[in-house]
Amino acid sequence: MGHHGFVGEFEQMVMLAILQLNDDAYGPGISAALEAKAKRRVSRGALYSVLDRLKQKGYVRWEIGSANSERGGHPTRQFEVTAPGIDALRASRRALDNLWSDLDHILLGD
Amino acid sequence: MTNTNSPPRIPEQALRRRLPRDAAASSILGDLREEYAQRAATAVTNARRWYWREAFSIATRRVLDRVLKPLRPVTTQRSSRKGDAMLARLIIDFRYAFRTLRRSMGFTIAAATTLAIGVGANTAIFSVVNGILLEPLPFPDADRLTSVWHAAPGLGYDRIGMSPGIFTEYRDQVSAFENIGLYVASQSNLTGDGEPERVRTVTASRSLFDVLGVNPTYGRLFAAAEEVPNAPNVALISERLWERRFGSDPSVVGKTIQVSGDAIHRVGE
Repeated sequence: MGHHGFVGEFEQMVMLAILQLNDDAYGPGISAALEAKAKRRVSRGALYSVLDRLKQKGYVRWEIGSANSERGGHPTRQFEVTAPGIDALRASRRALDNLWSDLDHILLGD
Repeated sequence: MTNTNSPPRIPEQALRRRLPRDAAASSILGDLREEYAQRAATAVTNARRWYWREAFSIATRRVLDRVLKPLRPVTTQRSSRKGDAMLARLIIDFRYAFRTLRRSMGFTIAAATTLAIGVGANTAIFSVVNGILLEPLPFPDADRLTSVWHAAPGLGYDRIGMSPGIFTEYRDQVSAFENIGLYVASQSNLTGDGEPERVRTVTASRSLFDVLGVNPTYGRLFAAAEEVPNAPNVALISERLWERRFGSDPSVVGKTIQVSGDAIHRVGE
């Protein structure tokens, strides 16, 4: 996977939300998790756009689920973070941890 | 009638047309329906508004993504359309310029004001130059019209007028001109009908209208008998004055107006 640099902030948040939701990671659940845990209101346009981009990068994959009448006969789409996606998250976290280190006297606070 | 469980038709149909016909796109419509139903259970109006906003955001993001895709390094796909990359760079440039300007509002306001004043001043100057120098006079064969005046540089007069006597000499003796007219511009008080007003007037020879190639809309031009000493005063009024003061009434021809105290018979407009 020839990616360059690190994943963006919003990409990280979406992947982390998917991981938090475990087996229930589909569109409405991901946006609800982002709003609840990250206090971030997400437009559906931005969310589906970043999900497409993460799939192109190979960090996320999805499976088409069942359809029901509540969804107007449209199927669900279950998302899952791939192994390269987890690697990318780890790399981002390592980089941030390195940059955060020894800065507690400045950045730790309320 | 609106079914509260169904999202608004127009944005849903519009979004359906924008999205590809595959299962992933179908799932987006399903997600929106599901969320709409949950929201509509508590507040239908807010839910409808939410649906419109989100459908619009999805549609616009898809357009932006398609346009910006050629600049994203991660994709291995070929650029989908020719010209996309150029358009993408243009959009990025505009966004960058907009953000930069927004960050320094003082500079932006000063620059915009300077530009506005500059453009406005240039427009005003060009309007004058265009009207006076570039646009031909509104007469037939305007390029054949020539102004004639006298000068006495030895006496310090660069431009002096022409007496009626010299004018008649030119008219009768000089063959260089096809015709020659005489006029003196001034201002007069127009009284009589309605409010008195100060108007621009021109005292002119009969031939001036032939020189300019114009004819009155109503009435007639000056007659030869009206150009001799002690002839009755006659006048033509401009179309603008005719419209403004006399309400474009054709029957004003032949009536009398007071110009600076003199009764003048009107003969045309």
